[in-house]
Amino acid sequence: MIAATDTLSSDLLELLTLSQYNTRVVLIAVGLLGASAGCAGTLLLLRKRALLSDAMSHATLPGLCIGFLIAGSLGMDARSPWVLLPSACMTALASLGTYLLLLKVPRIRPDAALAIVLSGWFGLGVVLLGILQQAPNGNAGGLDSFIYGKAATIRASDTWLIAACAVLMITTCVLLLKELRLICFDASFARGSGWPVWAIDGVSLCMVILVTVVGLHAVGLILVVALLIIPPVSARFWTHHFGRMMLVSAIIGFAGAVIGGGITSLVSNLPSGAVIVLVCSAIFITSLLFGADRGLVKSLLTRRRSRRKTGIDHLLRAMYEQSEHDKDATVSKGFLSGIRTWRTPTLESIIRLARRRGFILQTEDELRLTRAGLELGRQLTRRHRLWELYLIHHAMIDPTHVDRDADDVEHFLDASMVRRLETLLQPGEEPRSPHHLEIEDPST
Amino acid sequence: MGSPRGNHHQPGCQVGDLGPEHSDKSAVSIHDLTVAYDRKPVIWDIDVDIPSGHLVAIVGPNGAGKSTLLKAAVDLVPTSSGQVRIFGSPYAQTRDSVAYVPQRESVDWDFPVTSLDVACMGLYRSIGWLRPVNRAHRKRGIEALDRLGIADLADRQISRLSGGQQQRVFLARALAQDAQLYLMDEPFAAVDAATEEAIVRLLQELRSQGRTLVVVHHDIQTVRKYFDWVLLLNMRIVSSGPTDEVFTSENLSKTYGGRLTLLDDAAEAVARGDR
Repeated sequence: MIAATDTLSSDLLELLTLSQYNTRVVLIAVGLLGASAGCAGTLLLLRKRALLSDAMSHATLPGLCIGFLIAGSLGMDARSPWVLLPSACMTALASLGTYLLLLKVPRIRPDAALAIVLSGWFGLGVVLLGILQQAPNGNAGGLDSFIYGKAATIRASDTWLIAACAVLMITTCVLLLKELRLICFDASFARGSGWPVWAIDGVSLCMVILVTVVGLHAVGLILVVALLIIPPVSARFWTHHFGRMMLVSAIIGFAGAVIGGGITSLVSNLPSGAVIVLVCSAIFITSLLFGADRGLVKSLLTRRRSRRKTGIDHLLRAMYEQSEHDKDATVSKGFLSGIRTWRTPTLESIIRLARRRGFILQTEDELRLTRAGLELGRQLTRRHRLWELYLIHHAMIDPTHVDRDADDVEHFLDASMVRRLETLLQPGEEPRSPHHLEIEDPST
Repeated sequence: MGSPRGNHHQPGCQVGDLGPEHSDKSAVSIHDLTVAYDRKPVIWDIDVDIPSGHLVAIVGPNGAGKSTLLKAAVDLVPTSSGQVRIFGSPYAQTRDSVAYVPQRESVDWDFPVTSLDVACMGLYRSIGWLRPVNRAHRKRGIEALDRLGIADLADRQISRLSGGQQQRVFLARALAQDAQLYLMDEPFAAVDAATEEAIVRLLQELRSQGRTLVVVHHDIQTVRKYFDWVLLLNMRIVSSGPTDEVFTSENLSKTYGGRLTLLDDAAEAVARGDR
């Protein structure tokens, strides 16, 4: 037992210090792959082509089988990447061609066309794989590692290939950042102003095919779509700038791939592709929850803050309006729950908040405004009435309908808007409630 | 598509009453243009000249082919026959003097860019391949936003803009293009009154600088007030000319009343026959 923990911790140490050549090679390779997938995936996602890449990655299987046959018949190493990868590229491109052709048929919708392309080409690949594995002399055992991915099979020569692809791709993305942003956002504007959209699109699709094909070793053709799509979707929760999104996406792809690859090298017999995808998914869930741009936790907090502010505003205004009749009036909770449809626990929590912020004082069941509360209540009431007056006199809305609307708007009127309302309405020192105005002066 | 016969066509000879300078003065001249989606004609045999320096409304019922006409002018849809000349030349040669403003709904407003990013896209052609957007470009982008009154929203992500603000961003992008001919697809659709006012002011300012503006417009009430030239369209050109002459109730009822007539039935028949 102790020995087992010992080996695990020494393995971990080895991993973290990257002392083993093999681990180093694998981790550098998958990291670069993850980073370039993050870049290419951003383009796919924003151009709304996530599923197209899935179809293309499935279509690499027949290409791999054909490449295996060709390499074998030429007497080369049957798993040499220099034959397998180009032929995988060819069938991926062929599947893209099939898709574009199917789109020309009026009755086939894009989603159906994708489904046909994906399953058709993958089916062909599975059949070819079956035939190869039954052949007496062909050792096709290694081919199925391309389906689920086996990072451990990455060799130093593969690393160089992946590194070259990553450098090429990241350079392209940086150089073409402006053009890519343009066609992803508004392709018809781009075409109308003279950009060759098909060429820029072609570049971005080539990047996707390149990532898919060089990533087959590490993540496998079924899951490579996850490495392309999950990082940019997660990145969107952190930024709303195109370039930064690509950068964050590349970092997430890099981290997910390296951590996933590291875990695989510690525990034997785990499929690296699935582990990498799981790590990326964990990053995705974290981003979804805690993301700075539109993470769930942040938007929940914002909503709660605005709900609390609305509650306190309404409480203070109700109490202020009461104090207009009688300067030293105290208000009971029963009275408050009567004038608004507050449930008791809601009212209690609003009162607690208002008391903690120093707006009201509470003695037993009676509440009264502090000086700060009185001032804020006065401002709120003023805004509320200004808005009501505006609605009645300028938006021609019936006086009986303005109260609810002003309830919603009063919390969001800032100083400049209040000033505009004042110059428009010139209400004098303190505007009175228009509900009274209506009764006194029916001519307005 | 580009038939060699078309090259000999001279728009000046066609509608004699405008005189010999006609071809120089026309911003857009369309000859025998037909566009079909899925074999069904959307616009049919369009023959029209739009003189430069006018603020032009394209008016017609839903499905009359108004947007298609604009798209055909900027080569965004394949044409079945006919040709379009812009300032006397094919679009491919004059595209730098043309700005096209698509419908607001045509893009995903959740896209990760700011108002300023979109405005700067109008400069991309003049910036050229591979070169990044620099500070001087951004300054021009902000100027364009400022002319539409939204310079303060420059750094805002576009999904956080109201519909009217989004439309202003689109127009700022077109403004940055500094074109001679503006083709706008429903810039007034679903915008607030303040935005409508700002857009109209901008359009009139651009016209007073001698530019031509062709605008797909939905609101018949405001045509007389905003536009000095009208093109009434319902698959075919019903009428085209100065607003005072053309925008008559008789022409309008021809444009809007004639939907379920022979023209439609014939188009259906063409579509069926081709299958």
